[in-house]
Order: sequence, then structure tokens, then C-alpha cells
Amino acid sequence: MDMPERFRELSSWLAATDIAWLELKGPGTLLRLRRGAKGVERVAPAADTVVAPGAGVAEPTVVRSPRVGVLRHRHPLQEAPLAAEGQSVVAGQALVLLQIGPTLVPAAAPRDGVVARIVVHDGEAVGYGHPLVELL
Amino acid sequence: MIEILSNAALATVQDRGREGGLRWGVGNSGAMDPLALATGNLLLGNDESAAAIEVPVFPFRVRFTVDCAFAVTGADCGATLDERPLMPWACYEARAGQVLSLGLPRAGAWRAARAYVCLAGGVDVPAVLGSRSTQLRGAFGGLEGRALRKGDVLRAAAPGRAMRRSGVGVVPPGLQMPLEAGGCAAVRVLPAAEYECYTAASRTAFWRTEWKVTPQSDRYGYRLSGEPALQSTAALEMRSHGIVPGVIQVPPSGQPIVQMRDAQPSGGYPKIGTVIEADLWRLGQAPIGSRVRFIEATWDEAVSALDELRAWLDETRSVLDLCHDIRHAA
Repeated sequence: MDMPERFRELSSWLAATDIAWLELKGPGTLLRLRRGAKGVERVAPAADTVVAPGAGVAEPTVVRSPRVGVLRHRHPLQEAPLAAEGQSVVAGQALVLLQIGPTLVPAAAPRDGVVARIVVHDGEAVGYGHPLVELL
Repeated sequence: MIEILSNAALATVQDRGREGGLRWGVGNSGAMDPLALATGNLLLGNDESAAAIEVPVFPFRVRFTVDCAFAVTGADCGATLDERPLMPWACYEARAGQVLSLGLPRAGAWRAARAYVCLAGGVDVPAVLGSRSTQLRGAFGGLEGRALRKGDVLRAAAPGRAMRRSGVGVVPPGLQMPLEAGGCAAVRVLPAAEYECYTAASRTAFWRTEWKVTPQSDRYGYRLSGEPALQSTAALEMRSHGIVPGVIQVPPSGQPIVQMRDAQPSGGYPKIGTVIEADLWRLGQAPIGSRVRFIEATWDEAVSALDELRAWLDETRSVLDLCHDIRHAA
């Protein structure tokens, strides 16, 4: 589905709800919709969430929770955390884990970078979209 | 397809085992840790009992010759895909040409002896008598009825299958369902037919001793050592009779032997107990040199322990399915 078509479809769905804000991320796409008094409008992506490979990034990239779960800094079989503050990481590397029942879902680095801050404590419950790690 | 790069001593293709053949003298075979096998398969969306590679000796390396999803469960072997470290008990996607390496099992929060390399759709070898498990004694099943060796090529049944999110894993069941007695790893045991033939002191010792897994332990059976030796009240002479994996025999030395997956279907030693089916995976992962204790169990407890495993697998499957559905919806 191309973006204008998706925008129309999501807008019509959104208009029928009481949801104020919708963000849709996919490979190479970011769509943000706001439902206001004038209906649903598209919002330009903010600088802090757009990954610009190779650009001199000053703002940290915020890695957000992909799921609702309990945050784990380390794999339960291992002593060392997956990522420590100040550590260099590569795109796709698991930074923290979300435990959902018996399963573990990684939150991965969207790009190469350095871990600036791990925002959430080990064992803390997080919701969808909650900031987990800041990447410089 | 994957190519075995290691001289893989005793790595074999195993599924859940060849059930129903004992009456013909055909042993069970099957994964020493059936829970790790089932979990690896669930991670890939495979049938729970699909065949995988059981790896008991490390290091172990394979090269993927096509793109293929895989999962590594069982012992935490510090697996890497090319240079990239992988988490244990998780699924990933390999590209053609990439090499999966398993190192020595780590002594972490859960120490284990065997790793399972599961492939999308399962390892595709012919089913013989209803199972793909390697039967080493009879030299059938698995790949040509033998252990894998360098240069062997195995096919995944569905390498192109859409997989679950790469990196998704499971908390190892050894951590979620730990079992100990006095700080020692333990398995539950039903007293067997000749239990009452042992002296009261031996019966007490049977439950209290921390039995050591000796180097004479493999897929056929575990020879345990401990003090005191178990003594019967009178000499026991028995004809050979049917036995199953889990049976604990006592040879004249008084040092017990636990029959494992490749056990003969019959034996003549007296039986003091039987490790319950639901705990065989624990024993199957006990490293040589480690110690294990026996906890007395009842039939009802043995049955409910199986129910507990079933419930754990069902919950794991349903949460993984949820991850899967969300991915597809997105």
C-alpha cells in the first residue's frame, strides 16, 4: 500500500475513534497523524526520531519499547548486561530485552552508535512506545 | 541447507523420539532434552517435535548455504553468527554463507550439556519407523543412521518460511522451573519394582546422596557414583525384562545406572527407581561431573509434572504466536 492511500485509510479509521495521535513506523517510512477539531492531519516527523545515517547527529536517537513488558538489561542466563552506557553498538544489536510471560523480545539499535543512557531500570514494567535507551 | 564444518563428535539428528517401538525391541532415541527441542521449534513456528541437531561436544560449526531461520536452545554456548554474538534460546535469520559457531557451554545461571540447533521447518531427513531420530545402535534414522561429520549437508524442510521476529527468545525452562534438593540439582523418581529389596540404609542413602554423573555417561545411560553403594537384602537374580528411559538400575557394584534415550529396550539388573518422564530433560542436560539428587515422587505427582510442562509449552506457544501476529499485522 502506498503512503497516500495508507494515509487516507488510517485517517478514516482514526476519525472514528477517540485516539488523538497515531504514529506508524516501517522500513523507510514514518507516518504521524493527529486527530484534532478540524479532523485528522498529517504531522511532519520530528528531528529526534528520524534516523539520518551518516549525518552528524547531535540529538540522541530514542529507542522505544516495541511491546508491553518487563525490561531486562541482561539475558537471564548471563551476568553481563546486553549494553552498557558508553558502549559502542551496531545497527540491529539488541540493547535491552522485554520479557512478556516466558518470552524475551529484544529492543535493537536502529543504527550504529554509542549508548548514551539506559532510561529504564532492570525489572521495570514498560508500555508500548516507552523510551528505553538513548543512542548517540 | 547447512554444511557441518566441525568434526562433530556425536552430534546427531534427533526429534521427540521413536515411540511405540519398544515392543519390537526398537529403542526410543530422541532428544536428551525434549523441552529444549520443543522450545526451539516453537521459536521457529515449527511442529514441536520437528527434528533438530543435538550437539553434545563443542566447539561446533555449521555454514548456511541458503538463507534460513534457525534457533539455538539448550546449553548457552556463546553462539555467534559470523562475528555477531547471539542470545541463547532465541531465533535468528542466517544469510547464505554465514557460519554459526557454538563454543563451550557456559557455567551461568543454568548449567547444561547439550545444545540444539533447530532449523525452519525442521531438519529434513527421512522418517524411519515414524521418527527422524538417529538410532545409533541400529544404525538407522537421522542422517544415514550415524552421528554427523565434517562435510555432511542437511536440508531444512522450510528454509524460506516467514519466521518470527529475529532475536525473539524464551526464558530457559531450567530457570522458570528449577528443581533442587538441598542446593543440588534434582529429578523426581518413582520407586520401582525392586525398591523394597534394598536395605533400609540403602533406600535412605538413595534419596540423600548427591550422585555424581561419571564420564561413563552418554545417550545410552548415565553411570552415577556415590557413597554408600546400594545393597539389596538378598542377592537379586532376574531375567531380562522390558525397561524404558528413566529406569534406574543397580548393577552388583551398587552404583546406579540411569537409562537414557538410546537405552536398550530390555535389561536384567534390578530397578530401584524410575526418573519421571517430565524430568528426563533435566537429567539429559546434567553435565559430566555434576551432581544430582533424587526426590521421591508419586504417580500423581509424575502425571501433574507432565501437565506442568505441557502448560508451559502451551503458554510459550501462545505468547510467541501473539508476537507473530503483531508482526504480520504491522
